[in-house]
Amino acid sequence: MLEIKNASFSYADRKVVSGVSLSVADGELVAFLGANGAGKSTLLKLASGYLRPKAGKILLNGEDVAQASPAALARRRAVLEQDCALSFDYSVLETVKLGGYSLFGNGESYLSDASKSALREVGLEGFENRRYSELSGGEKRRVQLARALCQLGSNRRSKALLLDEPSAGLDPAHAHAAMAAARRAADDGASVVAVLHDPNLASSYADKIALLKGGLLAGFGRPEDVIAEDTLSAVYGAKCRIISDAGRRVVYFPKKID
Amino acid sequence: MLMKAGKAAWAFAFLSAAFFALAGVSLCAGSSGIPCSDILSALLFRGESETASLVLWQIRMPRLFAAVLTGASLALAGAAMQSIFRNPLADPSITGVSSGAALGAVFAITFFSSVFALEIFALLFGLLAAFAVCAVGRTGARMSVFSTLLAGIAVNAFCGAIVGFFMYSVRDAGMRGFVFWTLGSLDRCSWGEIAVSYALCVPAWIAVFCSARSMNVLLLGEENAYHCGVDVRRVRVAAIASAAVMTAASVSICGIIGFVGLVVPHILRIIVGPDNSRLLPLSALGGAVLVVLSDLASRCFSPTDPVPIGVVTALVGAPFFAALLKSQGGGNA
Repeated sequence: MLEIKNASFSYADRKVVSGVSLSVADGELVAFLGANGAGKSTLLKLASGYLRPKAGKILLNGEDVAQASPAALARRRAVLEQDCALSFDYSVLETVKLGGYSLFGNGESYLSDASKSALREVGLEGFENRRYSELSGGEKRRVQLARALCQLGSNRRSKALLLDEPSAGLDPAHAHAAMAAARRAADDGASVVAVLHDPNLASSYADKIALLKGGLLAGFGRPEDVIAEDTLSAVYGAKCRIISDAGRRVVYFPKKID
Repeated sequence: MLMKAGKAAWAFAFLSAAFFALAGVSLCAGSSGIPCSDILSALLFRGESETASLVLWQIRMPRLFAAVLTGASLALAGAAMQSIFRNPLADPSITGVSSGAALGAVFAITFFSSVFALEIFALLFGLLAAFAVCAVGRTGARMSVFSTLLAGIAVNAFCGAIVGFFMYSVRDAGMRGFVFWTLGSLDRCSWGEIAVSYALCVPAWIAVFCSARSMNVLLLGEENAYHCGVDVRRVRVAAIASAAVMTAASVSICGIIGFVGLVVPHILRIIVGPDNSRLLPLSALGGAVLVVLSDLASRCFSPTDPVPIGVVTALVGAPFFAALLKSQGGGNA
């Protein structure tokens, strides 16, 4: 279980996250939504332990992530960052295996199986020996997602999976596939957080949605409770409309609010 | 990946064979005209020729050991720096340690006549330069790769300017000593200096080999490496300190031998890929081969007055490197 307790963070004197509290239970997928610069990625970095909160605490299964060593944290959570530029050219399988750094004690065959299974999950079986530099942007993104899934290993119960824009650069089918992989990780018992820009994708896969605006938590709850025209219009600064299509609510933004 | 493992095995076999062949030729070749059979007898402690024994154990063998130490250390330091800084253009001089050590040596040559003064000052100034670069490159608790690279350029320029001033100030005879030293030479190696350098370098080699897996993950970037479980700061400090010790120790006995630390890991990365568990041992072996070969070439070119070895490493390595880059379409390994 991931608990964010009254967390605040600032870069120099610019406050980016202010007193955010929320929790993600085992088996739950929570989507962070908000405009650019709302503090979503910073909150994810705080949850990962990479950034230390200036106030408040982040607990993973009751332990303060700020006190844990990188190795101990890596065995309990995996992270997909927004950016990942590889300096030298690994193959796809080698890149995914790097995610299994903390699993090395389980043996090479375990790591190899975990890597191949993660590649299957993101639909990249057969890509093992391709060079990373020769992949498209979307394929690279899926390789990085596979790396995070590999790090999570086969026993995902009580671990955390933190995904910063897992659908960025992906076509609609692969965006759904990426979120389906995140959903499966939650169904396997992990606490999953995904920073997203598409409220429809968030509503389809998330158990709960956290809305962030100016570093503050503007809403947190089940999609049907949080997704509302007025709330989303205020959060994004764009006119929001919700229509019903075959029993599903579809969000779209016809124009920017001047 | 299996293909790369196969290439690594072939590269290891080729470099090992090349190393033993070149080491054999290096021990037998020289200006004294002693037959190979006498050298071989001296090597097996069965020889009756005192001259052969003296030449082998006091001149050629220390020279070979110094070449191995220098080549392996510079190539390993280069491979480590390229991984840590995620930059194929990084080499041991990036931490300022080569130019710092050069300044220390020139300082010692100018002001002290003691035998070990040069080694001590080269080591001291080299480590001091590396410390200065790391201190400038550090922002708060984190080390900025960009700032460190720029700090390295600044420290190299500063030390180079002072060395240049010393060279400008001295008379011709002293100048020649400086030039030989700043371009690298294996002529003045003794067992005592070599033993001290090995004592410093072997733990540094082991530290770098032990960091191979962590350095692989660092190629994902600092943040992703942290997420994967790497203690980024510890690995970076260990690698930079090891590279600084290896470079300063090799510079202290042989002077500055350029190009080895840059080109050997790069060539091998093109062939066997970026995995440090394969790249690091092969770089050590490849560095030793390049320096032994360059030493041999420098002695063949002018047996009585060898050409500075730094000139030869660049002359031997650069065309090969350029041809390999061209054949690989830019060498994006």
